[in-house]
Amino acid sequence: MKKLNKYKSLALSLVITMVALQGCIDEAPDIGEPFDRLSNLAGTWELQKLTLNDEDAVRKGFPAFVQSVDITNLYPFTDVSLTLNLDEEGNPSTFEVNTGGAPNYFGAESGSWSVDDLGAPAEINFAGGNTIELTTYLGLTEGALTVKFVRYETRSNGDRVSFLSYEYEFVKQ
Amino acid sequence: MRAIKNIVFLLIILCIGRPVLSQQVTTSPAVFTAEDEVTFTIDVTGTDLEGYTAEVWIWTWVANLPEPEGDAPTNVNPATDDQSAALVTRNSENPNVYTFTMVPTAFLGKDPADFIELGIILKGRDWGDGQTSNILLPVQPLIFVPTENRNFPVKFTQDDIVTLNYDQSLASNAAVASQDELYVYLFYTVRRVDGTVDTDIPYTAWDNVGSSEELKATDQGNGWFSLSILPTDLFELEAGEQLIRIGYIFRNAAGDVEGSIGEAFVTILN
Repeated sequence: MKKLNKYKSLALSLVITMVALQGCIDEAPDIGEPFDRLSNLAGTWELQKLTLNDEDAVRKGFPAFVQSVDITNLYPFTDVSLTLNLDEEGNPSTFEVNTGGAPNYFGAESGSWSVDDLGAPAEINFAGGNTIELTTYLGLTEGALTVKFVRYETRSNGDRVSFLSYEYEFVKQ
Repeated sequence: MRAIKNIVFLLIILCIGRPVLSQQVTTSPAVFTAEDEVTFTIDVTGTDLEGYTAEVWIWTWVANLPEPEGDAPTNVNPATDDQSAALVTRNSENPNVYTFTMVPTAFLGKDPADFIELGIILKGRDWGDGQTSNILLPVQPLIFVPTENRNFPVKFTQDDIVTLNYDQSLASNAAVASQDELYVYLFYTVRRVDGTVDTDIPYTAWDNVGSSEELKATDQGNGWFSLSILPTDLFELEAGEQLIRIGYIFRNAAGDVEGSIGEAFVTILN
């Protein structure tokens, strides 16, 4: 009987302790709503900076001045704008590129666009044009978009190796 | 006197370029390192192998190394079945065109640092069966080596913006090293729609360069000059025409001082 009372006391102590500790444990922070990347992509974007990268030099770790060159001012690239529209269901629909007379590495000036993954797009495909790579989501919710047009060589075994890229830095209008 | 000098100079330019006599050679990629997979396409029209129907082998060596140190292991004459790795592929549509793909370091069994220039010859089983002349191809270094002339990016298509650079600290002569202003003489090689190749076409005559504002190089400071061009625009290429090579010379406005000839090879995508 004495032993049973001892166990009862121990159990009661444990319960009291657990209740007391519960108040000290922080609630797990709310992870928030899912990040809707497509709706953040939609809109009109103005080009701020265009960088030409020698992807081979980047891989080899060559000096910075032979890895990348800012070509923004070589042509009227700051006149370039990109408009991405969504349809009523929130899916990619039409696009328009205002080239401003600069070389257009999107490959087309208007038409339909699509992505490789609606939830986490890594590639934007312009119908009749090129595929552009979405290199990062950083800044997307703050109105900054960075995309790349990459040129690849294809080896005899089918492997693709990049050799240059145009890196576009846009801000949302 | 200047006109005669320029004529002679241009004749020399027309003879410079890849040291290939009769055969036409292209590589894919257009510029390559010793560790790249490179495909050689060789047209043997005009050589001993024109119309040849038997098997053809590639004979290859590191041209900057002494013989036989630079030789590929497959350099055996007459060739046997043991050298089957060196057999080249004859084009089914044009039997005078051959292709061969290799990674130079692997095929020749040499270190990347050994390669400055790669030599190749196409030959029959025995030298007496016929051969091409020596084909010498520059190999890009794996580490960055500053040069008098440099194009950025190293690999580019005719639709890409390419910047031609000049480093006065590495100038081939003191006269061009001391110039405050430089212009660029441009010439290019193009394959026309009908397959013919026009070699070393001047963008504009030598005498016109110094008065062509679009050919004035930008002074980047510290003896570095550059000129950026979009080849398809500048050379007014027609649809279906393929640029192969851009040659360039940084010079003064008067044209009596110039640097070495630079070459930028265009990457042709399939």
